Amino acid sequence: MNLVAILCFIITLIGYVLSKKLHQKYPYMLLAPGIFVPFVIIVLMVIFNVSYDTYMIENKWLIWMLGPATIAFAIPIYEYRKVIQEHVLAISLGIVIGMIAGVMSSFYLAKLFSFDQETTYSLMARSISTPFAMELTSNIGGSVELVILFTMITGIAGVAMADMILLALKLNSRFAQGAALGNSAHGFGTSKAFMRHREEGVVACLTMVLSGVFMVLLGPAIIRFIVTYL
Amino acid sequence: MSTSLLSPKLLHIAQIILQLSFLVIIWWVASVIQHTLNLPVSAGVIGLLLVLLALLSGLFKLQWIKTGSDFILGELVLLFIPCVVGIIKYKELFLTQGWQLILAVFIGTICVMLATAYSVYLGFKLEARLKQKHKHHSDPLLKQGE
Repeated sequence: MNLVAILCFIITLIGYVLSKKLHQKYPYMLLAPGIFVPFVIIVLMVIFNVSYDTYMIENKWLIWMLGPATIAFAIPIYEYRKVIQEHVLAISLGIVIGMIAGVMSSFYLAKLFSFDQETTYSLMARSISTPFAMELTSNIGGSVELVILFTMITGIAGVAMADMILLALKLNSRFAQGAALGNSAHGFGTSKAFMRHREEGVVACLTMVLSGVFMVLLGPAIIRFIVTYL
Repeated sequence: MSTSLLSPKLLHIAQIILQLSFLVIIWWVASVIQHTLNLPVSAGVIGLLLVLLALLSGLFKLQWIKTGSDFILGELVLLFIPCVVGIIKYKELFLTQGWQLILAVFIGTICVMLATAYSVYLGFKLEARLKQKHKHHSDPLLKQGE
């Protein structure tokens, strides 16, 4: 039994619960549990000289739970199956074109800034919901830690720019706006979409989950094709 | 009334724990399938597809997993906090290429947003045109009400 490791686990849990309450009271982005808790833990680890391997001894159980948690994404697909049936063409187009745009833009931007291979792959895998992005990145040779950080920045970026961009597009279609939010900013975008309008939220949620599944199944082939031929 | 010692809150927690255990069992079955058939997809995604099929075929009832699923999806952030802590391994990268990375993510996100918005809009128009031909008007979103 490693006491430090157990302490790391307990601090992560308690920190999460407290940070969630704090964020509900003061909804600043920097106080969001996904940003604030890791920050505090990293500071503590540096001060007390705890290694990442020690931190992970017990905390790997949280990551392990992501497997069963991924299954839970079946619920929104099932609950909104009528929406999928009704708009199968629009949703499929949005997923395929949106995902290709994400992978291609990441590929060329990574070339432009001359990122190394691991960073490039992580960037290409990032534009989907985190559990799916983690799987995709480990399939293609990216880094799990990097992809999580990238998906988070992606979510924040998408939410920050959404109102402005969607207003400028003047599409006047809740469906298109919801899909854009779900595809570009996954979980963050879905909450944002629900705040804007219920219909946007439903579509964002669906697009997010379906794009995640789509990329886990076909992403490796798409990414390999782009990397080899472009 | 002393028949039930369990408060509704405790019952709710018990239900969440039971349903989460159910998800873990499904995940375990899915990982056995994955290993036996040597599939390139994770047990999580295989489990997702299995549960979806089970729900659609009526084999599973939604209320068997709904409470646990809603709970875990609501607390998803907790599960990847340990990985975010892992960025201490990438200190060097962020010190040298931090702003390029953030810029790349922002531009990429704009691309995805624009591509998705326009393609869905186009798909929606195509659908409307197809539907007009079939004289068929029903939108499940409108039916569900606001």
